[in-house]
Amino acid sequence: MEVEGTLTATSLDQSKSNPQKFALPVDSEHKATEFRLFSIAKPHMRAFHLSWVSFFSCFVSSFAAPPLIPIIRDNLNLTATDIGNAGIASVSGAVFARVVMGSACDLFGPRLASTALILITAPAVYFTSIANDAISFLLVRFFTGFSLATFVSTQFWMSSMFSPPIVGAANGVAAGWGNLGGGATQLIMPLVFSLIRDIGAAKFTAWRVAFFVPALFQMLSAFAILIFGQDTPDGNFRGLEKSGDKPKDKFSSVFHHGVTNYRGWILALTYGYCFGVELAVDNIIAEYFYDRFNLKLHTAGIIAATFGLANVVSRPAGGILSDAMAKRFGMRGRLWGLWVVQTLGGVLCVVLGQVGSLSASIAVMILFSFFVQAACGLTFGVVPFVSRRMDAFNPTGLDPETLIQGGAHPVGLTTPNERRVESQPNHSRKRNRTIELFNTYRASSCPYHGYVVEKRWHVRDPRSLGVISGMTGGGGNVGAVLTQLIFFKGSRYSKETGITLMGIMIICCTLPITLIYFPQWGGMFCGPAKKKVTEEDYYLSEWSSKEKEKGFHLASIKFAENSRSERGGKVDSVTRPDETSQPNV
Amino acid sequence: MAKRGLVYPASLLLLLLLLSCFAEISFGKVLFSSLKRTLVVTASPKEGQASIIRATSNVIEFAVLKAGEDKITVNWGLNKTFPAGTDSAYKTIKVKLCYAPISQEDRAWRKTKEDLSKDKTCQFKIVSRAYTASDQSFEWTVERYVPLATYFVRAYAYDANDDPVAYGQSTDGKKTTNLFDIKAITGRHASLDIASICFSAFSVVSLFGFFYAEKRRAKSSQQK
Repeated sequence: MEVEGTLTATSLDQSKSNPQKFALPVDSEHKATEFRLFSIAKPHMRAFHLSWVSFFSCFVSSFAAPPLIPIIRDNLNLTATDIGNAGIASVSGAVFARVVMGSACDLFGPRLASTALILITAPAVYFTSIANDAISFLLVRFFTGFSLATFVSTQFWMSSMFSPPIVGAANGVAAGWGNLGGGATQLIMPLVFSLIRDIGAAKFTAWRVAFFVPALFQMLSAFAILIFGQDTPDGNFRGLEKSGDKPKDKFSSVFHHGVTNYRGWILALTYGYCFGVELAVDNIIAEYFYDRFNLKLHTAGIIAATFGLANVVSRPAGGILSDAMAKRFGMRGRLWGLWVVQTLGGVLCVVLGQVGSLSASIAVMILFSFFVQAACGLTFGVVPFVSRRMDAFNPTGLDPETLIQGGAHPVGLTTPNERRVESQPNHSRKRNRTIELFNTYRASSCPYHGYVVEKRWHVRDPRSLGVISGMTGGGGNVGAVLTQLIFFKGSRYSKETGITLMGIMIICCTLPITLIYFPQWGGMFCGPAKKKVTEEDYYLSEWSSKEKEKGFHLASIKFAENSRSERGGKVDSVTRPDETSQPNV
Repeated sequence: MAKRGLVYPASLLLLLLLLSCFAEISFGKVLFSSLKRTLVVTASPKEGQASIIRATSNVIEFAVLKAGEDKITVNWGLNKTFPAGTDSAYKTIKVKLCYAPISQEDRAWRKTKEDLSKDKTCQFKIVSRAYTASDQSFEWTVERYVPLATYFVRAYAYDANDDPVAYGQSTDGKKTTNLFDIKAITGRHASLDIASICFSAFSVVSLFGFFYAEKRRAKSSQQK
């Protein structure tokens, strides 16, 4: 099997003549198979550090205003309604921007897509310094919030650089450390503000100057990516070209399959009440502590920061817990774990609004942050299993029909960490295009698909880029918008009442998890269907017979086999199929 | 055995923690309604300043003072209609700048509360002096950190224990008359504006610069 030979024929020119040496061990696609946190070796670990730092800077900018609200509200003569509206605006931009980022990464690669977004939103952060009323304040927070869509490019880039067994860890750490920015900014901004004020500036000038810090940080991180980063281990991305078919058609079929799966909707709702709540709390918590307990600005900032900083352990812990529950109890364990953790988060939120003393508030808030962020990690333990439609993560923008006409065909499926590549040259007269499809995945839950088009290739982790995970992520931002709209806008509820009511809403909106039911594994309260339904039945039901004739469903079969581990501890979870004989369509 | 020794202090700690959850340290809670309005306070912009009170048709324009520039004269003293000896307990006077109701609307951080320790109406101290029987006066330059709002002036009288016992204010009981506006500094400077615009422009231009450079590099490598 000429894996290497096929690669050199289709990878960049440079790898033909001189095989590259990488600082980390790599697989045959040159993706790193090891994750060394403290290395900045190019290209893999360098890409990791560049991506999490830039994502972190976007969070710092988006949540730079909340810790300084006590000063800004006096300077700009804001009412509680104005502040609430600005908070809503700050998280609503990303709902739309995430969708666009997915396509942008497809077209331009994660490096250019993320830096474009970051450099285009940097002016919004600079202009925060010259805002002078409620409307301008709302506008700058709205446009700054778009930068949160760098989440998509971060995940995309990690999937290009790291091989499947560790891409989950790479993605998780990058996303978690990026989220830290929401906490770090509550520490940084009051400190910078006091520094500038102590130098001699007036209060109302000092906060304006302070905004140059996150703006510069954001801009410089983008420059760092442009100078030091590269899209793939072998070089930079030069964009995919469409064969002429309208991407709209593909999007509608993808969309259809996503929206008709009720589990996707339930997970979108529940993610809105863990991640969405996290974003909403980032926006209000500093002001809450400042006003309720008459603290100094930087003290309120320190306390508020502990909420966001808990992300460093809590989100990964959620993922680990999900996997541990699955080992013993299968998918039912994952669902129970998610429901229990998120409901406990809701209970702690109710308590947070009720406690009257400072020390108790801090203690409850830290516990609350841990549970709500772990719930985010647990959610993404369930998401990969909801749907396995292949074109849900087809990065070429071409529908399967066109790909097949162009010479591609689903290749034989292999065991984890191995893959078989088969390609067929396309006789198009324009260019000698080779379209190949790879299908690879591993025993637990991290399949991905790759495509080679015109000597460039990239792979994506569908766990983060499929329609289901897109819906879930979008649901998170929508939850943030809704929560702030209902409870933290205007003066209808005091902040403490708003927090208590938010906790009640978390508990209510987590209940739908009880309705999630997988016929092959069961749900929270029901076991698997009496009439034996296999994983294959579930995943293949997503494909029409026409599509099955063409063999699009083969990846799903493989995934189905390997997902038997979701039955729970009693079943042998590792099924390594026969390596040699796989039929080609 | 060592474990048992920890049970008592541990449970005590737990009890303390539980109690602290609901305890609010509030001793000497003084309510505003318990204060007697025995002081007379007037606040007026210094004569000769450009701000005057105008009444045009139904709209009464309040005097507008500029933060950092204008001065306001505050006069306070005991209301002579009260019997002598009313002020025997007064030891110190604190004169404060307070928000008028219109500036408290939809702003919970300026809310008026009965409990004086939680009351946020008066957030800026003008002057603090020992109490004397004669009328006092003070000229205050409006500080730069005072935000844009409508205000009145209130003076609190404190006894030897530093508890408020009486007050007086420059407006009526409903806080509608004799209010004045303070126009705050914007905090903006021309240099800041220019810096913001320049950096933003640089950010966008450099993006296109990088894109262009990438395209050229790609073209030249393709030509090779």
